[in-house]
Amino acid sequence: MRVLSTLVVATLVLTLAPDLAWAAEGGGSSGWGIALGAGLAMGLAGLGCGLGQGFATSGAVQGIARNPGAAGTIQTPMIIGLALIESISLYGFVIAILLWNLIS
Amino acid sequence: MSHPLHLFHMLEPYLPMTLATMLACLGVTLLVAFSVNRGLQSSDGVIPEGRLTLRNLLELMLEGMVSLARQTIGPDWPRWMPLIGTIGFFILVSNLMGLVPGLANPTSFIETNLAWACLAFGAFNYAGFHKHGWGYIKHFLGPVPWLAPLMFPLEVIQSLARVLSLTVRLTANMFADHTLVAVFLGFPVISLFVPWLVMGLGLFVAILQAFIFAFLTMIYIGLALEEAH
Repeated sequence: MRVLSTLVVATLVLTLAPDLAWAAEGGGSSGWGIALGAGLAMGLAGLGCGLGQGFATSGAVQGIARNPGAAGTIQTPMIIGLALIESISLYGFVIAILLWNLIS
Repeated sequence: MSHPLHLFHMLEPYLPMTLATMLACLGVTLLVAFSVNRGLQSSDGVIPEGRLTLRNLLELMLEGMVSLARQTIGPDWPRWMPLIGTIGFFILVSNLMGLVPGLANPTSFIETNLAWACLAFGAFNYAGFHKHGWGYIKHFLGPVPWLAPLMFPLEVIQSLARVLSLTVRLTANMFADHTLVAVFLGFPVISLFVPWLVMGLGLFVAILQAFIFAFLTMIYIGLALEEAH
């Protein structure tokens, strides 16, 4: 009797499981993964860029604080460095745009 | 990428927009170059005018770039200055063209930027081969001889990645500016104030990115010209 009830429960579970997975997925659309990837791409790229530019600006401002006469000399490499770090976040933006075009 | 109504979009069936904007930028550049040259050809052409003219502005920019070229390229800089100056000035004019309503930006298309990046790639490889001959390959082999099979593919990929990074940096900066303005124009109240700031940022980014492209080309040429490790 126990074997029969176990067999009945197992058959029910195995039949209904794919149905539950399908319902959890939201009806069978596969676009949500791509959209999540696009959002994460830009978000993580922005995180890295923000930290990098923060370090660059902090180093430059500390240098100016130690030696205010060298402000012009420090400012030029700081601007160049900020533009180069900015380009990393723009690579993430390009990936996000490519993924977004893939959905729509 | 939806374009607003402007002149180059209307020429679309006859002339593709990449070509039309590029020709317009070329026209502006040649106009500026010839007008400045005419000032130099007159009898007292060496003496600059006392006020702010186009020629004085260009001489200011050129002087800054020459001092940077002297630091990065070294004593060989007059050979490379025409190329770097052309790259910098053309990209500056085309970036600024993108900020004017009604005109489009040649450098917001990836084809134009890929062409300029391939030109810079050809320039620094030519510099290396011209100065070192086949010894230029030693640049790619790394510091120690037994690491050479590992270092050579990595260095080749680094050279190709320089092309990619130059292209994507310029295209994405120019494209992102337009996208940002378009996004802010969608909201009712914010669209009265924020696009001004975004256009100001766009002006700064336009000038800076033109300078960065020319400066990176200078650095790559300087790196190819110096001795190997």
